[in-house]
Amino acid sequence: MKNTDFEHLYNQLREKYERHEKIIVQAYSSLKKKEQQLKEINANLECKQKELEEINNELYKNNIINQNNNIELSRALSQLKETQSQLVQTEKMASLGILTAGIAHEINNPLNFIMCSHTGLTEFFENSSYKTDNHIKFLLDSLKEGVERTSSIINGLNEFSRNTETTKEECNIHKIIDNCLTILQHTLKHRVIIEKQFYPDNIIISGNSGKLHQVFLNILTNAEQAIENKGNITIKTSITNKNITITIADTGKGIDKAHLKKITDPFFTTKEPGKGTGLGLSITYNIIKEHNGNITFNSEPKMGTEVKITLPIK
Amino acid sequence: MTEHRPKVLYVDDEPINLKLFEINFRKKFDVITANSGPEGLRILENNSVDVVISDMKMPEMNGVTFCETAQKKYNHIRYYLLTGFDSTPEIEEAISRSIVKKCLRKPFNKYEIEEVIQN
Ligand SMILES: Nc1ncnc2c1ncn2[C@@H]1O[C@H](COP(=O)(O)OP(=O)(O)OP(=O)(O)O)[C@@H](O)[C@H]1O
Ligand SMILES: [Mg+2]
Repeated sequence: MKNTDFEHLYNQLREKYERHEKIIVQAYSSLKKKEQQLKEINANLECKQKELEEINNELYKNNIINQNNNIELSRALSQLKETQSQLVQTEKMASLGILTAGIAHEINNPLNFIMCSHTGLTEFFENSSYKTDNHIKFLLDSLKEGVERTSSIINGLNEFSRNTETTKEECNIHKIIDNCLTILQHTLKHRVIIEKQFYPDNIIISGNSGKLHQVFLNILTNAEQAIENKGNITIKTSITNKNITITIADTGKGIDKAHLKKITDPFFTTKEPGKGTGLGLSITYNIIKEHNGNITFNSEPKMGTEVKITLPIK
Repeated sequence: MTEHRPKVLYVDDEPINLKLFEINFRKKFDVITANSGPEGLRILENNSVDVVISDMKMPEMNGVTFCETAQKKYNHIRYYLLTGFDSTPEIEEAISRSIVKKCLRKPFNKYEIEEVIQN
């Protein structure tokens, strides 16, 4: 090889090398730049992410506060409804009480006339020649029977005006049910047949007599109102170990499956205004709970409804 | 027989009740009647009475007020109410303060009243 050739080759190589070096340096610096940009972008992203997280946190907090507010609001609302329903029912029972107490007093006075006269006449006949007359005896006994029956109805009515908070009164379940039937007598007559399958003995539990009257009045009223034309209401009572069970079944129109869960909600009613306020069962439910009892509903649309109440004896 | 015949004052605003009470109890007891609380108080001034039986609801003065007023002057008398009402807080209080011994119910029960008077 000639010297010049060698030089030429060297120059060529060198040129090539220098070009490559340049390219590499350029590439390197461009990489560096890119890396720097990436870092910046990354930092920016991190920043954004932090911001987002913060926003997210805040949203979450707000949401919880909102949820809490919602819970509180709906709690307040249901309390309000409850109180309102209690007020309306209390007022209803109070006016029933005032009415019955007034009637009781007005009727007991003339009953007293009859009873005193009966006693006076009995004594008179005892000392007369009619002493053994069967007709006179029958007439006098009938007078007395009439007074006693009326008086026991009046005393039953008086139960509705009781307004005590105790749950330690002696409550005679059969008597309470009979008192309610007396009140409903005029709507039941000739339309609804009442079948009583009572436990043969008295059932006495300790509770609040006035409130238990409300329970059975509400349930019997519902049963009566569910029967459009004619039908039956069957009332069964029984005792197990520590509980008593009362079932009240009607052959009325029944309750829609969709409604079954709501019937004890305050103000839930399917009745036209003036006929129902939707309070009966919500109050009933509360009273049963106060007595540590249980109430369940079984219903078949168009067939009828069975309400079952269990109460502890003590 | 020198057995003491109890003297009873019966107070009620219904004239029929007064008459009937007298007819039923005059054989066993000395019965005096009054148609209002104030009238009853006037009678107590001039008669030594053993037992007072009073209606509750009367126009001028109710049974508890009448018994309370009378008891302040005549502490030895036994006071009872005879009422068509279920017991009221006012009556309960009068019983717990020993103003009235017991609250009897209308329609009356002759034997219950006889027992209370003879007691
Ligand atoms: N025995 C029943 N047969 C058919 N539906 C019933 C019966 N008992 C309750 N219901 C249904 O439950 C609803 C709620 O009863 P609830 O006693 O609480 O209120 P109400 O009877 O409508 O009104 P209120 O008792 O205040 O007069 C009734 O409107 C009715 O639709
Ligand atoms: Mg109802």
